[in-house]
Amino acid sequence: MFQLINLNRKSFLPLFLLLGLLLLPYTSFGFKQVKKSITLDVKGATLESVIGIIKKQTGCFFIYDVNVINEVKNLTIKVSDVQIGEVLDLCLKSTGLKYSIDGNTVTILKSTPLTKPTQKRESIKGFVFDNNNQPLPGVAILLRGTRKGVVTDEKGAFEIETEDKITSVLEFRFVGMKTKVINVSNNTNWNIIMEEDAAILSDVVVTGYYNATKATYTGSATTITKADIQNISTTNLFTVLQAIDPSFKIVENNSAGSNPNAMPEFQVRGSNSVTTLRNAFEGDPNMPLFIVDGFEMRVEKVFDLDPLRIESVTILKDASATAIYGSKAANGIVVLELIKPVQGQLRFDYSAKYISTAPDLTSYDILNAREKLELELITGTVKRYSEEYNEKLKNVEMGYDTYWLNKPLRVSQQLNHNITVSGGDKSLTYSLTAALNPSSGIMKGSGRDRYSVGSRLTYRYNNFIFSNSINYDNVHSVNSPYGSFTEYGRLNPYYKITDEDGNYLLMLQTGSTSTTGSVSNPLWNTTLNEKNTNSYNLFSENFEIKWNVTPKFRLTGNGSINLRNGKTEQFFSSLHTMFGTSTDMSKRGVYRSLNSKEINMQGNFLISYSTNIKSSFLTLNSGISYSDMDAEEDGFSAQGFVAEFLSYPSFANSYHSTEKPRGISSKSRSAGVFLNSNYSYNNIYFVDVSFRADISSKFGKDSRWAPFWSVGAGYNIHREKFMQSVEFINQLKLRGSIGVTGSQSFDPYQSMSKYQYIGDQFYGFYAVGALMMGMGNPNLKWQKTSKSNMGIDMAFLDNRLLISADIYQSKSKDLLTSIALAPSLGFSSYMENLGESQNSGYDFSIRGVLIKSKDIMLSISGNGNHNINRLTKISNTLVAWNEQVDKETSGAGTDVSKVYPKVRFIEGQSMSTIWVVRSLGIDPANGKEIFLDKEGNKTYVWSADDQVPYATRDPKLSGSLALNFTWKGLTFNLSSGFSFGGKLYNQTLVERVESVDYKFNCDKRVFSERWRNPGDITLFKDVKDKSATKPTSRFVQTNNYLDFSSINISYMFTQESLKRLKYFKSLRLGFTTNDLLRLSSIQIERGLSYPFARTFNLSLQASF
Amino acid sequence: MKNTILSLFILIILLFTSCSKMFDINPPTELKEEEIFSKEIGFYHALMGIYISSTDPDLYGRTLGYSFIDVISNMYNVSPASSFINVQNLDYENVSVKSTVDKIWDKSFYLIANCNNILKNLEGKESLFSNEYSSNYDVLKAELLAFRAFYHFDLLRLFGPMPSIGMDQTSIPYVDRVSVTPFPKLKMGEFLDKVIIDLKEAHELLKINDPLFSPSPTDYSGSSIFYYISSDNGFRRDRIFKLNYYVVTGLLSRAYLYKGDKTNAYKYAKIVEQSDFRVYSTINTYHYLNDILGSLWLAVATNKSYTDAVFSDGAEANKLIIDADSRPKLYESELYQTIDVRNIKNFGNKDNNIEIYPIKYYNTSYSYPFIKRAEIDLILAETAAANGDDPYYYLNKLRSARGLEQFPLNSDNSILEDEITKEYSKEFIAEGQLFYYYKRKGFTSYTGINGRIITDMGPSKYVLPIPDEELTYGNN
Repeated sequence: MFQLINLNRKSFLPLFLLLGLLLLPYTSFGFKQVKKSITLDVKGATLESVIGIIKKQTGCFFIYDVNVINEVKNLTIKVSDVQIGEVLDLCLKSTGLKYSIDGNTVTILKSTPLTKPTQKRESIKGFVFDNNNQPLPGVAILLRGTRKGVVTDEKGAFEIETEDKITSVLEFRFVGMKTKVINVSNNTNWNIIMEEDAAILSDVVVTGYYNATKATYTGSATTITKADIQNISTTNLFTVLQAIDPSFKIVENNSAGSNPNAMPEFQVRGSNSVTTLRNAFEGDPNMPLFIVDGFEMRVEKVFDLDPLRIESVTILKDASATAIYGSKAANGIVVLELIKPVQGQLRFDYSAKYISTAPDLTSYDILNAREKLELELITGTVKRYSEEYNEKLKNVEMGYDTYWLNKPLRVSQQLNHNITVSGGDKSLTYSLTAALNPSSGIMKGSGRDRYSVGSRLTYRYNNFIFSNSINYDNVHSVNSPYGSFTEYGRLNPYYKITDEDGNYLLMLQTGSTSTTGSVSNPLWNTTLNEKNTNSYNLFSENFEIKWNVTPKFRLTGNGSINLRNGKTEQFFSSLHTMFGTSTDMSKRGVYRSLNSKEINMQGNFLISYSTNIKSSFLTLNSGISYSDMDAEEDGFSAQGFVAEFLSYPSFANSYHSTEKPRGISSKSRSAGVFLNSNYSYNNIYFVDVSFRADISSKFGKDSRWAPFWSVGAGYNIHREKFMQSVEFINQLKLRGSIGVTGSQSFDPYQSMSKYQYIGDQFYGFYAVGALMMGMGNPNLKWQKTSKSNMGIDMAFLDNRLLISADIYQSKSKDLLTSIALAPSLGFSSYMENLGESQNSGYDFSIRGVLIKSKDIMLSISGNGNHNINRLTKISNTLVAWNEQVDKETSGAGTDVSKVYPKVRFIEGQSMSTIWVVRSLGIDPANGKEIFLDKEGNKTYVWSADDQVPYATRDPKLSGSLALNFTWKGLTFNLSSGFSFGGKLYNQTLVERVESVDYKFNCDKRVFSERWRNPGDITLFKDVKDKSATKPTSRFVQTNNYLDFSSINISYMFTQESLKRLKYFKSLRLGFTTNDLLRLSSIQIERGLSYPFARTFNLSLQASF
Repeated sequence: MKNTILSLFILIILLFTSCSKMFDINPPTELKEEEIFSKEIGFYHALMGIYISSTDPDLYGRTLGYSFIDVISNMYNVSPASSFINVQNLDYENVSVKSTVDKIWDKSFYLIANCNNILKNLEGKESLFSNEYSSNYDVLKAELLAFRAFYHFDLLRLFGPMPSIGMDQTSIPYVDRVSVTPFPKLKMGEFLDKVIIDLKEAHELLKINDPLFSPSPTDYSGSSIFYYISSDNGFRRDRIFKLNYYVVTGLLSRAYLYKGDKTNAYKYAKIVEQSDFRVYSTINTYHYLNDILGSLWLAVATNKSYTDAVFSDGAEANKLIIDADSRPKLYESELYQTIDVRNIKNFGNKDNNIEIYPIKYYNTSYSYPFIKRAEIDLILAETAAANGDDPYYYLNKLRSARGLEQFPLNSDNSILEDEITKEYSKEFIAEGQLFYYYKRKGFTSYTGINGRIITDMGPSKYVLPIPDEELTYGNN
């Protein structure tokens, strides 16, 4: 068989597809009678445990009353290979119980003889559907108070007889669905919609194109439910993802801090691409792909999405899970499903969040006025009794001691609302949602207001389902007029900032009175007319038709159009300090405008088919997808605004003299054909095969088609017969996959040779000219990433202990890098597929339920990830890059911005290696640093050649820990992130303690911990040495931290208490705090240009 | 039903596979190679791009026109405080000098790549060119070949070895194709052969087709709106600002002489000499541009900012000046100073005659000459004897055009070389030809401005260093 597959590898996949389609007409659907043999050997067992074994062996579904069953004990049965009926006969002999089998549902009842003749038998009929309006076969229906039960047929139909319909209560039960109870009353004809139980939603894996059964899924995927989001953060989805999946990481941006307008960057299982230098990538090449309701979306849209609108999030990681996304899959896929309307009465859902955010300045420790002046004296920056010193001392003595850090900051408060109206009947369901999420940042004036409205309609006609959703988002963000936070950490505390009337002074220090130059007051700018905004409108329309040709055969077609208009506007008035002391009013004051327009169209067509032959189960999903992106951007700048308050561009003196008008346009188009097939035998063995071929305008014209594939296999050991007697194991699943996926986040035009017209020059009498822009490469290919993954999923002790672990390796080949050319070829470089990198590691998660009783549940969970990155092949430009950065570092002088340890590209090393010169510390005799050169000799001289790969930033283990406690309606959830074993270069020590420019304020440690006199044993060099400290092992520190990322307390009102509060269907109150505390082994200033923040959040969710 | 769906599905797949053209997307702000070369006009624009970029200040717009190139031939008095002092000292290791030299190499080869790419696309596209001017195909091809040869030849004269050491010396690569694989460095003889092959092909094509010879006046002069509505968008006009037939012929002569082939150098120079194209003007109407055979047109506004920066308005440290008292030495005060029209018309004064500077670029027409009639006569003077002709006839032609007295014919040949050298320095000041002359002649010493004697000249000073990147990534 394998030989056959190998020989015909090329024709194998289409064959599979054809095979599936050909099999169609010969397949019968549904189950009539379970014919499964049972082997049993028990002594003194309870009936309940015997039923448990039968369940496992046959997959039958049992309906019984626990109280009745518990009376049957001490069963001793030994049979092999017998039918279910025989076993039950043996078990129930002389117990007064009887059974009935219908399909794969077994009902066990007390055989009470009918004493009374039936008075008035009435039958209650109806249909049961799931919330996608699919008929649900096999739903168990119990008539409460009796032993009577029926099961729905293939069409979801049922009929049950009752003696008194008025008082009858029916109970509907189905795996994965919430149990539903109805009072029959006078209505004898029912259409029942069963809702999915969120807790059990994880029984399927949402792939974006189709849903796969988790039990036989071979991929590595993490599912995050609505409840997880509510428990961790209803304000920031990415925090939730990071807390639940250890391999999903937000790349920490120490500069942007908690800036609401800074788009975070993420990685799933490490970075695959080399991000550097001249090759201008569009966006981040390591960003995973985001899919919302089946369509690819910009990360910005996800960032601005109200988390309360999300039903589930699935993170797809390995080849088996991602291969159907082909050339976009290498960085992982994040699939979001929004909440869909459910059939039923008109329902109002309202939620409100009150969010308060407070800046976290605990990582800052700066000098006060008196200390700063003394430092200037010690270092010779000012001379004692000089005019300048006297001036400053006067200020200090007068009590001027400004704590600049809190000047631009505030505690921000905001109120968010989300209202949803939904409802509908069997043929039409609808929902309308409005989300109002204004948010303000902790820097005064900054904020990001997000408003969205959306509607969704689903219409059912025979076996067609039409769905349509329309969304409109408006996001408006404002940057703080206070500018960059960095500046406030540098300003001296002894300045006088206001005049006698309390108005801000323009200058804090004038050049004429000091040797340290003039300093302008950033607070002055806040009194001016300024505009610094960014906004966009996004309109999206999604349409979908599902056609259930037969219950097992479905066709789906969908399409989406997104229109996005963006606008960026800046106005800085003529009085702004950025224009210095220039008196040329025709150039003071600037206005900038940038408009963007983007149209994105996507469409998919999907065929789904599933069938079973005896114990085999086969599903096939095959489809095509298409997407088209067209974006344009243009803008201009104007200058010379004489009147401070007139900000409209028409008041400008002229267009900007040095900023050219901008115009960018980009277009791309791609399509793909894919197929996924899952085959399982008896739910024990299963195989997944996926294939996708992509075509994209981004690839070179000589290699336009890109094939991708994956093969996965799994083994449900717990379903094996020999495991039946091991009762404490509920699940033991092994899975593995290999495959190839791609990445195409690069400039669409890199593969082309292009000509650009010379706009501002002519030849002779106005002859225009054009020149080549670069050397195209028609052979340019997609990046390929081969991934392999091995995983295990385990559940023990009645599912109270869940363990899941994966080891993985991914090798990226054909990385896009620029190759240096001999300049005689006309160009310095061109793009080529060269370079290889590798990520390997493991991730795991454990969840244990410590207490589980009727009212109380206590569970703890933890997860972790370890990832190693290695460059296996690099291009010649990267080697040249190393030399260039070494040169830059060596020649840095006092320029602090050039001495951070740079990424060096060396084969065999990681991109996260920290390269430094080994240090023996500070010589107590003279305050100079002693280095070790390559040979291990001591030297005072730093040389780039002596740099060694000293440590890596990658932690040994990072992940999160969580605790969840529930008592009746009260829930307490704590989740924390941790990381240990990674190293970090403490840049704060370089910039704020050592290489300090004494004109500005600095860290307290400059004053207290630097070398001053011979004999001082210190970590920091001579306080008078102002040179920039070059990469040294002295500042490589262990970066272990524990972050209390979320604490949540919420209360869900019980049904009893709600009865007193009329109108409410449900009510939940919650309190969450995010980023409350961070315990860290390294003292480093965090949030440089925008500080980090803690958030406190009160929420209310109610349904009417 | 199921069959319908199946066939529909297969159809869609086939549809995608067949129209992969759909995935050819044009960047809207630029033109794809295929697109610009799908029309006649696109070729003209691509050629004009090369002309325009040749006037880049790092090429003939300044560095190779009048600044760097004449500083290394010691035509200016550079003060020790000037940023040009390292150039004058021929300190090629100096970072800023190195960067200037690297830019010459990089940008010249960039334009060579442009030539090659147009030539590649031009192949077999004759049918694109309209009937009215079907000869434009040949003219275009000739100008591209000539450009390729012109740039290569100047790179050889800068970065190649001294011709006096021998044609077997390894020189630089001759890049005649668009490629990502580096080209080998050729022996100087082989390299010059390639230059000559390209120039000869251009020469043959232009001989018949140069619009100069089809004297519809609107083809190459004046400025009428009709040029712009003509089908070739005025491609045929402005021949004196193009690599025309006479320029190419002159360049051929120049290249042969560099190779040491006096027969052919004489032959091609003679073709120009005997034509009536751009003959010497009278002394009264002298202008240094009058007798050029063709020049690069420098945009007025941009050029003025470059020249101002080094000659008149720029910061003292960047200034290129000539001491007033060096002029008598250059123009031989006792003999000719007051009558040499070049001395009278080519200089401007600053600070009451303490400093002077060349004003060749301060005029209404700013141009960098590809080659001038004066050089043709000097080549003939140098090669006449070897071809049984009288050198003084040609030397006298130039001298009389500049107002100088004539040498008797058949004079003593012992003073000939010295007189030719003097004419080169008088004639080509600020035109960037002197350095090449000294290098070709292999002078171990020569007289710079102000009578300064430059000694110890040799390969280390005449040969500019090839950029490090070329040595690292090239084919060595």
